[in-house]
Amino acid sequence: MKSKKWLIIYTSITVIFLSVIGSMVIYYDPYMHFHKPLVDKYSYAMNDKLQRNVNDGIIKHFDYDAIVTGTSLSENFKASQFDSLFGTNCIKVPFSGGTYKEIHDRLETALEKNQNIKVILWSIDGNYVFFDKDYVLDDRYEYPDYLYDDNPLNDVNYIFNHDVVFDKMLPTVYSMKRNNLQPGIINFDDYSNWNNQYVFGKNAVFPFGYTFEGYGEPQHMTENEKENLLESIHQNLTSLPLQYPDVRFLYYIPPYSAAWWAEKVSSGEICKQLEAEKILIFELLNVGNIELYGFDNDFEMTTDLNNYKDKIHYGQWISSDILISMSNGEKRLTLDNYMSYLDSINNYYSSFDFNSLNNQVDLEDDHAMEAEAAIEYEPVDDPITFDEIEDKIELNNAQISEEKYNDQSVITCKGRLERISTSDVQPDTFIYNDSYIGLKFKIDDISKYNTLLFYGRKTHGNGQPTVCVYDEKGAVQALLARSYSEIDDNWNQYYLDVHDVTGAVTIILNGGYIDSTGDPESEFQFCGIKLQ
Amino acid sequence: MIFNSYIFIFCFFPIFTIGYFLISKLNLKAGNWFIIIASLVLYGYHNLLSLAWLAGSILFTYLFSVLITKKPSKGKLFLVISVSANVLLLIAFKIPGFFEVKADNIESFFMPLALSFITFSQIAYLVNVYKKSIKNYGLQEYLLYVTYFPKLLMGPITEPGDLIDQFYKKKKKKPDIKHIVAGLRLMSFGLFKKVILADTFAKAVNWGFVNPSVLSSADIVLVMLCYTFEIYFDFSGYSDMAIGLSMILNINLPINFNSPYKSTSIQDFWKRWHISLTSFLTKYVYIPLGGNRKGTFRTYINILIVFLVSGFWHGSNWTFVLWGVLHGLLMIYDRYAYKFRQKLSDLFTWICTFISINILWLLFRAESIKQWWTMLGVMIKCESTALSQELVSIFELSEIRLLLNTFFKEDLLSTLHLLYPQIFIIAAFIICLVPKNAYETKKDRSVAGAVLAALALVFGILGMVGESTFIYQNF
Repeated sequence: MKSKKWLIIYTSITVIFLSVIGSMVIYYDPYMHFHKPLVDKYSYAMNDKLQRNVNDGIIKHFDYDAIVTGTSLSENFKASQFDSLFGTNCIKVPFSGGTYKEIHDRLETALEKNQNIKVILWSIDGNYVFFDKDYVLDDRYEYPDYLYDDNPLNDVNYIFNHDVVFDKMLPTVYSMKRNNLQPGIINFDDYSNWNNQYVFGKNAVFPFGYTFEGYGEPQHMTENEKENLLESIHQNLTSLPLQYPDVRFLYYIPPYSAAWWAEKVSSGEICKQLEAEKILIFELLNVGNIELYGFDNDFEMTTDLNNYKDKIHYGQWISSDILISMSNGEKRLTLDNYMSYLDSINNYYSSFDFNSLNNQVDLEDDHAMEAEAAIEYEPVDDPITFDEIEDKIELNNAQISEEKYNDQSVITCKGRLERISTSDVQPDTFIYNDSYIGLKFKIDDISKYNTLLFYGRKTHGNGQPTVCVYDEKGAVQALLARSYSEIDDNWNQYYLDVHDVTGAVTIILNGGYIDSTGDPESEFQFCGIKLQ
Repeated sequence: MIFNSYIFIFCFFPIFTIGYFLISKLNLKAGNWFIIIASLVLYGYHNLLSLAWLAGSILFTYLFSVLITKKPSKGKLFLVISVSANVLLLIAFKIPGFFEVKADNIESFFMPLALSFITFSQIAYLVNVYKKSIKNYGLQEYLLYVTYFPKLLMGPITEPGDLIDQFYKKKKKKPDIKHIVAGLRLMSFGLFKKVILADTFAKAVNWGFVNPSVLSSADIVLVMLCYTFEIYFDFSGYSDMAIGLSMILNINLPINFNSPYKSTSIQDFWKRWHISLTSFLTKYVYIPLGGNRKGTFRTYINILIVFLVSGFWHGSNWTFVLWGVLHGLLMIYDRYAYKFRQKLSDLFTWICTFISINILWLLFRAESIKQWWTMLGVMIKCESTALSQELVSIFELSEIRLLLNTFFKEDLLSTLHLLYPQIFIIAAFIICLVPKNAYETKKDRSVAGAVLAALALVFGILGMVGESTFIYQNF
């Protein structure tokens, strides 16, 4: 009898717990595998580490008529820019390291599930041309195959999954307030966008300097490689366009930096690479609904390492540039021009002085490039400048200097704030709640502006810019912070993206050091403050 | 297919168990064939090549066992041929590993699953047939003995007579609620040990061995302790599951672990750790060599040979051989200094034993003897005593973070964060040293026991994603 009772208790507890957990996972569905996200009630995590987990759900359950996809080189695209240029309602589903095969399979699912798709943008990476047609970089990920197949039984891996339950579901569902989470999902502009996580420029691409190793013995494609490439193209790149002739496939070959081409030249593989691209381009151009674009001949871009964080990954401003070019039909490859495109690459890099890359100036503020792009591509009708709102600006421990930069007023901020370095209060909260060293102003409605631009420079000690945009409740909606150790006394342009921020806001530009251990005479100057 | 997988827990085992009892009710022998087929399915689930090897090896060994019986005059010759063939095959598969120590190279060699366990089982069978200490079994009996799935992949290594006869007892062919309860209990705690405890320690150990050059002295101590607990929870977790599953089928398997970290000497340790292996080596290697009957010096040599075999059996790397030799030397010391040890306090001998075991486990896990030596050097120098943040964060399990996050303030969390490894290690010590082991308490029928076992099963099931393999599965 004791055994029977034991068995009943044991079985009941197991069944009840597993049923409750399973039901909760199915209801909340953190990977959006079973249904659309409950965006009115819960917050959903989406980031580069979860791409393989959530992209399938996005593809299957969201409402959209266009897809932006590709490798890590597609992660910095802004969906809003794509939509405004192409008149679509797109989803961005990047697959970092995603091979032709992997992305083909995901697009196949998308096209099967969604009949409304009009446009697909796909970055066709040139360094994947020699991969086997079925190769998937699954060694980099614990691939959640159970989410992708049609077998409902193996969904048990998702429903009874420790990480899903304790890491993704319960903390989000029960601790939203505590963790400052809002219901909803991240927008597709910011999803997997890594632009602000890296530094760009020569020192990032070549941390230990660079010396050109000379010209290698020319390498050529073998017959096997040609055969494999053709099979890969037909299986992964042209089969879907042929099957869905009404869908517009925008393919582009992402521009790799001159540093990448330097490797190809020194190893002698440049010939082989261009032979492969010749086959690739020719095969793609023979399909009517594929529009192919190539940017590797934009040498001004590829030889400026300030555009790159490593040999192939370029900044967000280049992604923006690419979208604009494609929407204007620029850089489009055709059967008439593709040979001259390939020849120009070969000719240019065959005679390029790669050692000159080593002498490039690494721009101090990577985002200067981004700022330039923002100025050029995101103009608004009625920008605000410092001079226009000078009377509304409150200065604290700061003063307008007599000197000018580019004929604009310079505000000098001096001092440090007595925040204890081990304090849990973050600098952005500290300057809002206590005091600041710099300037503060309010904007009634920031919705019509996209960027906050300004120039800045450190003039003494630990001076550094900490610029925050706060909403009416004091929550930080946008933040730009640079460390004094990364900057010097040259003027640099800085850029803060505020296009997502709405409503009335308070903006603080703090130039003092926010730590009691810093130099009390620390100084930083702001100039050319502009909201546009 | 491994025990800590959804397909095994939700599908294979329940279907098999119901099918087994139903078929056995109709026909006892048919029930036994059902076990054999299920065992082969489980073995070949991921690796058909291993299945082909197993079939060949079984048929070869069975053929020779028949020859030994049929032609007793040439029995010794047949025994030598068949045992040598099994041993040589084991050596042949293991030798490449001694010369290609990199893991990726080892993977390129084909190694049948559970080769070492199966080889020892077959040798035990042949020797028993030759000595006529078991009946003249048929093919079904032999297949049952070698392939019985609860013990096929990682033991316990059983004596043929003890196991085979149980399959032919009618009273064992009906479900017995007492056995089911005891089996479920053992299986649940075994799964918890493997999935929650061993796999968490494993993450810390793997991190340590991926980043050996950045480890501080404190990191190495922590990694070493973690491996000591990982290997115990991993292997004893498996053994508990194997014994528990078998218990549900009314087949008793021998106990394999008896709280080994309570040992106060290396001699004591080997009576408590992997008991079935120690028994096998004693019976089939130590005693045939003369055991302790040929004088003290020969006894010591025999001990050393046994541990050399044990080291070689464990893996294809010189680290395992040295690990075996050092354990052998410590065993010899234990015998030599027996009277002296009796005068020491239990606490002192326990500390010495535990430290020795730890240092030798570090060797067991190291990729080379040089790496082990370097790590020991860094540890002893005690130059840097801070724990690496990355190592500490491995112990921050999401369920613990969630629990603390719900009930405590954030500043407490950041303080506790640094203590997670210590909390884990202390918990592991308590589990290993304080309670009776799960096998000893198998008759527990308390409500609290039922609740704990059910929660262990639920947590175990949730932690199974990724289906981590068992350490001893590679032996």
